[in-house]
Amino acid sequence: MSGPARISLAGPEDVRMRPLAKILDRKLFPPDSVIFNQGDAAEKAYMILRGEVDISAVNKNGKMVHLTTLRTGQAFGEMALLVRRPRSATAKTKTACELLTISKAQLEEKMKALDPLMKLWVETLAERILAATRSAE
Amino acid sequence: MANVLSADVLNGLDVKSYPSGARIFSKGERADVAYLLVSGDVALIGINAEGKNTAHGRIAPGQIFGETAYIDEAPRPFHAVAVKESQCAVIDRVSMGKRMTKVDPFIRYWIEFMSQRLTELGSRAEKGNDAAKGDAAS
Repeated sequence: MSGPARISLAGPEDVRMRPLAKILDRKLFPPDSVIFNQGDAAEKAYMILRGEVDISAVNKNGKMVHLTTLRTGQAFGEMALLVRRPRSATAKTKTACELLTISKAQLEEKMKALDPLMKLWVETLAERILAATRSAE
Repeated sequence: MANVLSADVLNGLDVKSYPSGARIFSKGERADVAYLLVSGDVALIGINAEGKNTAHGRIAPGQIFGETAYIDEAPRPFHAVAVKESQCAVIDRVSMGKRMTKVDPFIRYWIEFMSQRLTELGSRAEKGNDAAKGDAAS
């Protein structure tokens, strides 16, 4: 670990994430730090290897509302990568976190290498989620 | 989404032909497979509270359909009917399972994550509909 402050991680690692931890980039965040803000251009998706992340968004009344707290093994920021739209929420660490990240470019490379049917499957799932999300808004 | 299919996409899949008007699957049936429309035109038809048919979308060549019930292992929410003579590739669990073993670990995680998210969104929508029906009935 480098930098002026040591980031102390607590809590278990999600063992399901280990295959991903071998191939994806890792990033450490101290508690109470912004990972991305609502409206930011979407660069990466994140998976929580360790820690907790608060997701919040500004509602129609202009008020910041806490939506959920994500924990070890959960992912966030992924939809923006698939459908090219700004971040729909703010992500901030609740505790010190160790996150796995994947950039849009990395995801696009993985998508290119996919079996054509699997590529179509991934694209279909993404479109269905987007449509379901929009109809819920 | 591309509506031109290469032979690679269909590799290993059974392709079935349906004459115009044929039902590909019926509302309420168990969903063991999903479909990829190779050629033709397919309509998704629901049934409303009055028992009347309602249109729920059209499928064009190159599009996958029937995937949500397949993922959830749930009954089909709609009928799928061939509007004209159509060919559909059948996406079964064995074919998908084989393909998934060859996929990058992250993509595998991604597909599982999105499948779970779709199920969650579907459950929320159903709860919303039930609440709306409850409100309308009271």
